[in-house]
Amino acid sequence: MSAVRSRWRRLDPEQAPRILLAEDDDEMRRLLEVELRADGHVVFSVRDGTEMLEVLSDASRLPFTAPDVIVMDVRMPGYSGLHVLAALRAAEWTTPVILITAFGEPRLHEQAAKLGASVVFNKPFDVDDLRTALLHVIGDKAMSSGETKRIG
Amino acid sequence: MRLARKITLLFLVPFVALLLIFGVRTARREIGIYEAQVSTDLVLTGRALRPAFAEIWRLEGEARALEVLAAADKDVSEVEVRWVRGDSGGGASDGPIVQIRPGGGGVGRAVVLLPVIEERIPHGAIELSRSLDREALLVRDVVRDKALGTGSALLGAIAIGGIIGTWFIGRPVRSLVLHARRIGKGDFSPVLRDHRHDELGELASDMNAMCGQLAGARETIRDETEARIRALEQLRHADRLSTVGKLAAGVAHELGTPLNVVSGRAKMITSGKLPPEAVAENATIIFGQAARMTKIIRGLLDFARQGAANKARTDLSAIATNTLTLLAPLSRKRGVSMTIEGAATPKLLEVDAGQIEQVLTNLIVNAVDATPDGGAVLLRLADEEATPPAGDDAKPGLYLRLDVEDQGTGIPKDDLARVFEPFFTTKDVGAGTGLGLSVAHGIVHDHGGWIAVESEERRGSRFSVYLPLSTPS
Repeated sequence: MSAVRSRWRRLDPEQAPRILLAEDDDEMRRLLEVELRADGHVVFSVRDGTEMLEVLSDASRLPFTAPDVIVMDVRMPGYSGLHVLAALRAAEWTTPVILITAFGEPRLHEQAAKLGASVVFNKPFDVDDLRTALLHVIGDKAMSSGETKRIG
Repeated sequence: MRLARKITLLFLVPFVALLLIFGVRTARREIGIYEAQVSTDLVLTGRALRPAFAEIWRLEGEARALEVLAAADKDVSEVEVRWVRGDSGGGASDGPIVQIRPGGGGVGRAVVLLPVIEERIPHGAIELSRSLDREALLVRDVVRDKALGTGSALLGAIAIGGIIGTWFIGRPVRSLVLHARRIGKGDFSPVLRDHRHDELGELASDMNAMCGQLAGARETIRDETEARIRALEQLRHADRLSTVGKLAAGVAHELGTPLNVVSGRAKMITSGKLPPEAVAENATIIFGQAARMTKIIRGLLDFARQGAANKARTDLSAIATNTLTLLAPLSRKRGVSMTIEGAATPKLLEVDAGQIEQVLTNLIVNAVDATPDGGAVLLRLADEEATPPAGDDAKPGLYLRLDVEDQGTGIPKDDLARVFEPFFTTKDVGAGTGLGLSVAHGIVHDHGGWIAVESEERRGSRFSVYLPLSTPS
């Protein structure tokens, strides 16, 4: 675990992975922000799916040009995580998406996989598992875009 | 039995009447014949006597002639012979005049007058008469014999008719009646074995066929009922499972997030790298999440505990007014005004006051939450002839309708069907457990009523609670 964290710390802040987070529960959102920022990620968070769609369609509201990865709760007021994911894929955004849900329903996992979610987590999950998943997702993305060096 | 008796009597009454008429006529005719015979005898005797009488009168005088008559009177027993002076009513004819005169004791007398029309003999007639008592006796005997014969024949006919009627009508009808009674009591076993080829036999075999059909129909109904009960039980089981499933999913969702926060924060503390203030802050967060989970569990318990209603005659107008007063501070804080209609008169119902108060509180808090600053929430009470929605066990009848109406955000169509599901909420996390309407629904259902919802997005919602008005006893 600490090995993962120290690897990110060595990175140049300019090159740090940018994460867009959507979670309606205040405490959960704060926990994820604290943990991911501690890893050296740049985190921007919103409260629900509606706000998420707003910031995605208006990049000027983001502190970065485009997120490297999106982490979303599935069940949120307004648009659900699945709805946002479907909208993204419809607009041909390929940004990797990690979904968090409390519902361990097989149907939801199927749906998420069909829409192209990278990973689905069931609450409660270990934050370290999310770290590992982020590492893999960003690593894959870096590899596919030819930036292998960045992760080593 | 009674039927056979009736038929026998109906048959015998005209028969007896006919016999009677015939008997009377026969008796009369016989009497007539006897009278004619007696009269003829008298006429013959008189005719034999008359020339001698006239001759003796002419030759030897009146006294001698009358002596001859007196001798004849004595000679011929039973016949009285005497001389009657004066015109006998026959005029110039010497033909006999025959009369039947009524005599003593209901027995008549045959009287024959033979006029004597001779020179030197004053007008007169020989009167011969005889009592008919012997003939009357004879007729009486004949009538008595006939009556006896007829009577015994009748008695025999009645007896035979009764036996035949009982055997051919009474007994089979009686058994049909008993069989019909058994059918009425639900015994469809075809026990009648009647092979006769008459209407009763036909009726019996038809009844047997009917029994077979009834038994078949009952069997079918029993099978269908059993199948329906099985299907219902399966449905109820499925319903229970789906409720349990929803509940489990709801619990997983509601508890998943705070558990996640608790485990995450605890992990941060256990890393041992945090400054004391950060440890304290994380511990506070964990404490807050624990409180949140406690609230969820309590809500769940409330949801599970409903049903132990403690019903009593209660004034719903008072409950509605009280609830409104209790919630007034909350609505004032939100800038929402609340009004009540139809609570001027008492509305007495058999309800659990605490539970109904909880229902109203849940609905009113929801309405206030949905209403923007400056909006209004209306509570309305009215009696209504209502029909429950399809699928509800409640019966149509007179209900108290309790509306909670807001001018709030409304409920999207997709959500409308789910508002009574446990843990369904559109409120911010932590603001509601998602159990309020579910609990309200359960309580109202326990009271024999239901809750109807109407809503239009951006226009507002109306929740109508229907509670059965207790019938005056």
